[in-house]
This record gives sequence, structure tokens and C-alpha cells, in this order.
Amino acid sequence: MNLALKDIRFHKAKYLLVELILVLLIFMVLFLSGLASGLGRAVSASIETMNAKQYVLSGDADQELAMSNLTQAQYDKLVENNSGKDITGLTISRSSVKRDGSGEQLSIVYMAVDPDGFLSPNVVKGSGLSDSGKGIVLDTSFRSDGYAVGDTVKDNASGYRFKVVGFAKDAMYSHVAVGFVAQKTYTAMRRALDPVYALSYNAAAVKGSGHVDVGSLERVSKADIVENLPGYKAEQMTITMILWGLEVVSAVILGVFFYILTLQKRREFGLLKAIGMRMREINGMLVTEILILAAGGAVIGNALAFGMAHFLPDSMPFYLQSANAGLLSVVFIVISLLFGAASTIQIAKVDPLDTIGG
Amino acid sequence: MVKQKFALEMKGVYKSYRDGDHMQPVLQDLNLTVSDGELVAVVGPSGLGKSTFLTIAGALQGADEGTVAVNGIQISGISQKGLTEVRRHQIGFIFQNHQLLPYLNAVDQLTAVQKLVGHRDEAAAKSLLTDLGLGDSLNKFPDQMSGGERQRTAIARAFINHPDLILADEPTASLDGARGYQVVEMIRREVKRFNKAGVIVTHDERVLDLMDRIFYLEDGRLVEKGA
Repeated sequence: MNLALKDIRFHKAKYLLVELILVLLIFMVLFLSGLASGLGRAVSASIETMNAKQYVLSGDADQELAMSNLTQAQYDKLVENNSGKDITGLTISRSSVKRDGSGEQLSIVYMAVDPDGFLSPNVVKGSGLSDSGKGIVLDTSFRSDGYAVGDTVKDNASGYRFKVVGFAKDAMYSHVAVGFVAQKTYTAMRRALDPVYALSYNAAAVKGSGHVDVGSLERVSKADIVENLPGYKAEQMTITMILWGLEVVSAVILGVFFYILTLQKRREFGLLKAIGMRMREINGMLVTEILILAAGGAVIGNALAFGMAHFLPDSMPFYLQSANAGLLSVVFIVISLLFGAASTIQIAKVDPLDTIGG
Repeated sequence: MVKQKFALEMKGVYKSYRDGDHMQPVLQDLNLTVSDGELVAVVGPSGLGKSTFLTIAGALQGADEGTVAVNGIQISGISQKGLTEVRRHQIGFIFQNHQLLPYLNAVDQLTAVQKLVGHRDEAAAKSLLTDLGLGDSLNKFPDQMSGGERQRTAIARAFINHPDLILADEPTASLDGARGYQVVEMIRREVKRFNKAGVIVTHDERVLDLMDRIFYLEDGRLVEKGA
């Protein structure tokens, strides 16, 4: 109904302020949502982007990658028992590296993979891994520290030197940037320190989602693996709690706003009733007005949040998914409409008799 | 004998309000009939039932006893929803203090009301406003108008849908003598032009010479002057 639009256009200043609050509320919620998934991604991105549906871990690992250990013999048996399935080993270990010619040490998580297997990283710059040579594929965040293809980096524990062959996106694990290396290269590095080192695995990754014959080992879905990454659950729970706390606070603020807006119009509603406007029409006008304000706020808030995401530094863990933003926006609009609907009780109470004075 | 259809017919109307532990009667056996093309005044000091009379005649509330019919439609005892429809289609109100919507210009004040009964007809709205001397104020919002302009816009709003009954509540209250007289003159003109029934509740004796009939509200009844 265009009465709603005309009201908004006439009371520009008032509704601009209301709109500003709506925009800030939704922006705040979206921003936090972006930070929540950003932090989550910093823990789990490397696993999320891996092309595996499930993992096989040792039985005593409590579904935690870092605590799991598969010997070469266990791994071989698993592959043998599940012939025809695409299975590849994954070895994870933490260390630190230093680029030749630069002073700064950086933490790194090595992921040793089969260069021909499906865990081999998708390289956005440079070339992929191979069994020959001492190649390492680093997370793109290393680039902001000055790393480039062709650099030599030294593993601090073993003194072994890798050659940077490429960069991969979203390779983060437990807040640490990942370096992918071929299993042969990894073994060579470990043998620099321990000459009798034999390659073992944290997990065997399975590409498909069907049944796997695991024997005494444990089959864990990708979602559970992510869930059990150290810190992931606690962080996500904390931020999700804050997010919902904010959502509730925003809802209450919205409710109070719309309630006051409705109260201010009691006189107008009385007049509209007196001249024969039906309750349904008056309610429709109020709901239209709230829908315009809330939807407008959602659109502007989204534009701000997504726009700002462009200008945040790469090192800031911010990852706003459009699906999440969409859901939050819809919830926001629905809450507004619910409060609008609740305000219509006020309209019902307005007595058109009050319009007659004297 | 053919029963004549009046624009407004009130018979034996009683209304009382609770005042502490007893009921205070306000209207007692009130009778009034108004025909098309007739302008009548209901005069009385404030606080003596004028508003109550107006709200019952205007289908804003029901009477305790008696019958009220607007344009032959019985409105005693019908539901709130039914009363809303009567107000929407049969009655045009002119309120004290104009009661215009602050966010609509003069033309929109009228088209918003047109939409209640059909379609907006901007040309008709503009022509009625021009007739009432508001040709230069068509796009003015209430806060840009003078008191007289506002009340004339309110008159136009009451007439725009051609309701059978026009009810005015102290239309001169916020205006000085000359402007008040002018406003009532306009109401009279439109009542005659469109052949509608008009009832003006007022305590402003200066405009009574414009009335076809004058009633005084005394002890809850209407007494016609000179009758």
C-alpha cells in the first residue's frame, strides 16, 4: 500500500534513523558471522577443501586427526581390503620454516600426500607436487610474507631445504598455514634427523562416501573430522553463542522500535478507523512499512558487510558465505515482521471514538 | 403510505456511561431525522452529550436503546465490522482540528479516501479542492497549510466519496470568526450542491444563520429551535 511509502518519504529523517539502526544491527550480525566462519576456516579450511568424503583413523584416536597413527602395514592392509576404492594416505606434522635470505620464522603444518593422489593440492600459482625434487606447495598466506615460487625454505628442526614450487588457496589447519609436500620428500626430510624414519600416516582419506572395510580401524566422516580438530568446536560454540546473543538482542531492539513507531501513530490509526478503514488494511499498511524498512536494512547491511570483506587484510580470518548471510537476513526480516504483527495488537486497541473531541 | 427514507433517522436513543458506581445518562429519548439536502446544527455547551450524539449518529458506537438508521440502513446492534463498513460507505466526517494525515498532500488526502470505496480519481479530487478554493494548495502538506486551508481540505475529504451523510464535529473550533463562517458556508454549499444531509455539532452561535434547522441538546434530548 502506498500510504506506507508516503509516510516513510514524508518522515525522512525519522525513518532514516530507524533504518540506520536496522542496518547497523544486521551489519553487526553479518560481520560476526563472517568472523565466525573465518575463524572456523582458519582451523579447518585445508580439510574442508580436500576432496575426501571420509577418513580412516586408528581406533584409539577419538576421531582426532592429530592423535591418529596408521603404520605403513595397517595402511597397506586397508588399501588391499578395499580394492577399487580411491584411498590415499595423509600425514600431518607441525614445524617451522625460514626462507633463505629472510630472518623470520614461520609456523607451518606439513601435509605429506601422494602427488598423484586426490589429496594433491590444487595450485593457484606455480606448479604441483611431484615425487622428484624437494618441492613444497605453500598456502597463499605465505605470499604476504614475501615468499615466491623458486624460493628455498629451510625446515628449522631438520635443516632440510625445500624449494617452493607453488601456492594453494585455503590451506589452513588449526590456525597455521599448510605446506604440502610429496610423501617421498617428507620422508627424506624426516630422515635428515632420524635415519631410520619410516613413513606412517595420520589417516587414510577415502574419496567416496560408501562403505569401507576398516577392520579394527575407525571410519570418520569429514564433518566429524572437522568437528574434532583441536579448538574448532570450542571456538565455534563460543562465537555461535555470541552470534545468537546478538541476534536476540537485535530482535528485542527491533521489537521496541516497531512498538514505539506504532504507539506514535495511535492517533492516525484512530482516524483511519473512524473514516472506515478496515483493521486488515491498517495492519497491512503497518506490515508493509516494516517490511520495507527491514528488507531495505537487510540489503544495505549485506552490501556493507560484503563490501567490507573486500577491504579486510588477508590475514584477518573473515569468511562470509552468501548462504549464511542470506539465512541471517531472512531471519532478521522474519523477526521484524513478527514484531510488526505483535504491534498490530496496539492498533486493535485504538478506539476511533478518540478522534471525536469535545 | 410510503415510508420516507431519511439520510439520518434516530429514534428513542438512550446512552449512559458508568460514573463511579452509578450510570450517568447522557442521551435520553433522543429523536432526530435529517433529509437529503438539509443542513442542521446540534448546539449545546461542551460536555453535555454532543460528542456522544455524534459518535452514535456516525456509527462509531452503538446506542443502549433506540434505533439509528443511516440512509435507511439500520445500524443499531450491528457488529464493529459492520459499523466500519457503514462509516466507509455512508458517512463523511469533518473532525475538530482537521485530522489530516501529516504525510499526505491535499490531493493524496482525498485519493487515499477514494481508494477505500473504489479507485483513485485524481481529477475529481483536484476539481473538488479547486472548488473549495484550494487550487493553489493541491500539493501542500498539512504543515504547510493555514488553519482554514486544512479545514477546507478536511471538508473536501468528507465529500469526495459522495457519502449520504456528512457529520461535522465543531468545524470552526480552531478558526477565527470570519474563517469559521467561511468554512461552514462551504459545507452548506457542498451539502446543497450534492444534495447530501449535513449535521454540524457546534457551540458557535455565529454560524447558525447558515442552518436549515437548529437543535439544542438539553437534558439528553434534542429540542428544535422555533418548534
